Amino acid sequence: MEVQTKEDAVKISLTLPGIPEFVSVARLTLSGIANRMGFDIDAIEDLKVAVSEACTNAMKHGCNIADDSYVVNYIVSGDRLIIDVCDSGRGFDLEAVESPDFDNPKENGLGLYIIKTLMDEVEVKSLENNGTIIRMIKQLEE
Amino acid sequence: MLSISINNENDKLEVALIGEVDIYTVDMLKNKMDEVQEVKGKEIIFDLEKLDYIDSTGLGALIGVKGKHPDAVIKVVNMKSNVSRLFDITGLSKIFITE
Repeated sequence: MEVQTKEDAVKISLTLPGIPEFVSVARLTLSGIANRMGFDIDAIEDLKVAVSEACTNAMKHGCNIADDSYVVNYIVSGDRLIIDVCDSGRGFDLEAVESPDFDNPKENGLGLYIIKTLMDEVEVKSLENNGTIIRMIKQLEE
Repeated sequence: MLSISINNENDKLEVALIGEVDIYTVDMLKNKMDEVQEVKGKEIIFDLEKLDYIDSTGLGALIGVKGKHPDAVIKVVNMKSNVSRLFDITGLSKIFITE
């Protein structure tokens, strides 16, 4: 999963345990980075939801036991924020992920849809038994 | 963190959510809602004035409340803009009465 980054791109990495209470740490880190880049409050709220959804996904599908961990990489490349959430779980078939049925909403299955709606670009790479990477990109608007 | 204040009256059940609902705090919300007795026939009102954050886990819990009480009128009031945005994009503003 290659991505074009600027020469002076900066990467901040967070390794989080598969324990729900620490997802808020991914949000706090995101807020700090996005605020520093100049994203406005509304955009930061969107980014917080997107990164949390990806972490929730990593925990539900990528972590079998609490000892498992997952990684959140925040890459600041000029005015683009690239966020990779990587787990080492079983992986899942992206094609099998259904779009939500708005007339009969279910308790699960909204996460990826929300990410796709809130972010400019989303790419999911899932390999059987080799984990999943969700890459999300948001461009800073002028 | 999340705190929940429940006011169960004769004709309505008011639930105020304060703080954040995410994968960590959502179990507390589900458990609290399961503990509430005598909901039948009442209007359920979620007051989100002091809710700073919610994601699909929390929205799922609210859908669960609707599933458990399909005949109840459920109102969601006083949402902050970031919260109401999620209700809009997920279509939930169609199943709940939002104010």
